[in-house]
Amino acid sequence: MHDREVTAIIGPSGCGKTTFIRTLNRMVEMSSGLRIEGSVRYREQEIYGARIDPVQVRRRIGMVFQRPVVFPQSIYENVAFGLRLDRAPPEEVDAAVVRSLQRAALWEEVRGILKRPAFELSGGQQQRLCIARALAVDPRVLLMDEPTASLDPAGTQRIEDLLFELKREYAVVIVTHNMQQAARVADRTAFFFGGRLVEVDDTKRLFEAPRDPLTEQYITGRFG
Amino acid sequence: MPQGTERKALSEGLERLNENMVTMAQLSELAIRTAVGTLNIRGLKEKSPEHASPQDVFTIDQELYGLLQKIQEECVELIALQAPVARDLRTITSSLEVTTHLDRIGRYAKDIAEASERVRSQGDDAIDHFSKIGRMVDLTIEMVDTAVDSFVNRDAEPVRNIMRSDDAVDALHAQLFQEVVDRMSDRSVSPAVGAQYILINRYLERIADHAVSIGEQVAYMLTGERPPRVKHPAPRTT
Ligand SMILES: Nc1ncnc2c1ncn2[C@@H]1O[C@H](COP(=O)(O)OP(=O)(O)OP(=O)(O)O)[C@@H](O)[C@H]1O
Ligand SMILES: [Mg+2]
Repeated sequence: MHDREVTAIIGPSGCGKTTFIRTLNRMVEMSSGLRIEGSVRYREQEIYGARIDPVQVRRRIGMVFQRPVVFPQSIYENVAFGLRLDRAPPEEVDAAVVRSLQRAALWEEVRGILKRPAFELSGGQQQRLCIARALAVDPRVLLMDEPTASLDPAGTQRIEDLLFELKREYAVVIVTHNMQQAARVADRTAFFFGGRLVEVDDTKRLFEAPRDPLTEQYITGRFG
Repeated sequence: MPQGTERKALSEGLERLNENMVTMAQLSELAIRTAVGTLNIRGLKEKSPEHASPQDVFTIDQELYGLLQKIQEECVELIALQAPVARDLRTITSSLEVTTHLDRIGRYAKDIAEASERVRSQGDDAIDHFSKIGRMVDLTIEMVDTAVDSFVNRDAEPVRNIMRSDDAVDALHAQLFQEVVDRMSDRSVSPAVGAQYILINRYLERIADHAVSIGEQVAYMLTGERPPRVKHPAPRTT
């Protein structure tokens, strides 16, 4: 994954996309009954190293899920969640909440209703709220697992536009089932199949002339 | 192994597109053959449709234009509605490209037929005026043949031969040009007729060039790579 780029991960259901991106921030350890092998490095550092705190890893490498996970709290508290865990001083929390909502392109819509319950927001707004929460703890990498799967076209468009802004500051990884979405938003695209990475290349190259016949079959809709 | 699925609408659209492309390719070949058939050159008549008339070429050219528009519409529709990628996408964009070359070839055929009419209006039936023109016509038609076949059969291999023939055509073009100029100088051919042959010579060279472009496009369509252009600079004609 490269900084200031969007990497898309595509592949048929069950090929291990979610599992893979969960390994990237040690989220995968929260599930049971699995064996983890190999190595993941973030800026030369092994994130599975013995002295590395997984919580710190997840802070640097934030994650947004397919269905927006909003807590039964106010909009403000949803964004402030990670900062509260850090016991950040109130002025700092205030500033970070505003900044994160702005970056998630939600500020204009919620600035007057920060104390309202987050559940009142639309699905698309809730997803951007989750993005704001992930951004609030100042990550360097943002992992998104099918972030627009439950959104309508307008909500999807907002997230895609947002990706365009976010990649100026972050490395973004997005899992998507929508090949057109990968083509639209990603600089690089990785195709997974059967738990393995089959091919990764510039998005343009991968969709114009993939090297692997499996990739070709999948993206042209010949299986999947 | 992954389970097979197909994209029916896309597959059918691509099939229709291919049929129209094949028709257009055959028509543009027919246009050249008919056009050179109107030139009264020994050895060429036999390879052309019987009683070839310039009017036939004009009719074919009209048909080609109609097909061009139809194919362009189909391609745009497939791109807009089916969001094709990889080989499907390359097939469609290459068809768009090839179709304009085929149309250009048809237009040059029409130009040749017109020049041929003007030669006749001079009361000159032109038999054996020029030694090189037969070879020039043969090579050009062969190149178009090869280009069209490589497209129709989805085979990039013959494309190499096209590039080689193109150098030969360029050389012939220069030689024939000189031949016409010489014959006009020694007054064995009138300037009015010689000028038409200079044009015909040029049109044939242009057709060969379009055949090369089609070949390059076919190579891209099949492999995803653009072949490098290793063309030698054309010999100067003046
Ligand atoms: N590399 C792997 N080796 C073995 N098992 C794997 C591997 N990757 C994933 N799996 C298993 O395969 C199953 C599906 O994986 P996962 O949920 O990551 O797929 P997915 O690509 O995200 O699918 P979907 O598109 O449906 O969300 C899980 O049970 C997971 O544990
Ligand atoms: Mg998944």
